[in-house]
Amino acid sequence: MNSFINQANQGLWKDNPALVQLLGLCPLLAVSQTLVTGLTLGVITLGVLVASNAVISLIRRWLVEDIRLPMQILVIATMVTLADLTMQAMFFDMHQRVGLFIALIVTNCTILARAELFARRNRWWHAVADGFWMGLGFLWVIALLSGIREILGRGTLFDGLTLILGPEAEAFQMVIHTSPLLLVALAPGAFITLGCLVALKNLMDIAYESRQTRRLSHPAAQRKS
Amino acid sequence: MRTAGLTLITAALLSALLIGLVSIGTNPIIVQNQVAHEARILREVVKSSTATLEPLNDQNTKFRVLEGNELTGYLQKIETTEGYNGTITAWLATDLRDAILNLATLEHEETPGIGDIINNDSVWLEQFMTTRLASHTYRLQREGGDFDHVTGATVTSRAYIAMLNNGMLEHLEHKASYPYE
Repeated sequence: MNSFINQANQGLWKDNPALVQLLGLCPLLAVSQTLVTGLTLGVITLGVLVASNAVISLIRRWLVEDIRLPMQILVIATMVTLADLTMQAMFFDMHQRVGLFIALIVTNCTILARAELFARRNRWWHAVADGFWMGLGFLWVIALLSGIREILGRGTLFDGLTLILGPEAEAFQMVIHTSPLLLVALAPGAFITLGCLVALKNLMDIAYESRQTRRLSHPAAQRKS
Repeated sequence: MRTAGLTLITAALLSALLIGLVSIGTNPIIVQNQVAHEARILREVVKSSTATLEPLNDQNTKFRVLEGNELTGYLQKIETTEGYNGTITAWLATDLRDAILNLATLEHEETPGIGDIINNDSVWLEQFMTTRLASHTYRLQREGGDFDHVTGATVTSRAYIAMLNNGMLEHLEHKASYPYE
């Protein structure tokens, strides 16, 4: 149980693939233009990560030194292709918009990193949990990033939701303001926004740490210990 | 080393088998989606839900647009590979004056967020409406033409405009041979 919470903490915060490891920047920055595309890519990445971690953990006894990397890439590429086909069958219109970046998930270093660092050394249920938490860590960052970028850069929110949920979802697509900040919508804006998020995360960590040390050095705490 | 090679080959075969099976399963749905997608776009492009589209060739890339029995315009598929990535295909609807009635991008793999200017809801496409080859030069403004490009998407803009130019030329060239009735 303890290790489970630890894994969650690692994936979501402490060792977050997007904010701390800074992996998978290509899709993170390219698809974070609108919240809906960001969420779509995040969810697919999460699915691929869980599946590839599971398979790699299950076949780990055959992953000898010489063929380890090609095998892992093979598994990841297979999972991505399956996800791509499924998406074309189920969410064709959305696929029209983010299709290119689905294939690029293969090159998302987060996935290979988790295969290499975790899945091939652990039992499958641990690997699945790791994939889930790391994927969720990636998902919330890309969702936050694309939400901020869509609001500032385009002045809308949930634009394109009808591509996934059908015409009923149109009520959710809102226009927040009509003076979009072009910089945020373009690629440099993605880097700047992500940089701000990383800085904010570090600030929060530092604030938390200094509060911890202050509490420990407090006379009351010393007497107690 | 040899067993490792065999493992890799087996794994590759298994993956290929799995993808093949899923592909067979999903292919009919994907084809159906594509057909539905195209039909929806065609109706939108000719701006009429009552129009009939009569194919002018076997590949279904050229149509006559009829309203009842009356000819109202033409619809043709145009494409270019000059874009930033992959092929851009679009529908070009012209009226009887050979002016652009409407445009609809069918498929493209331009950079999302940047090449989005050619998506169907884009404001950038509006500058082409009602323009004619007779009165406009289909080139970027800074290259002596009549149309704006979008900063950051110059390659996409240029390719799209060149595609329109070729499409319009081709239309005029072939128009004479189309049946009028």
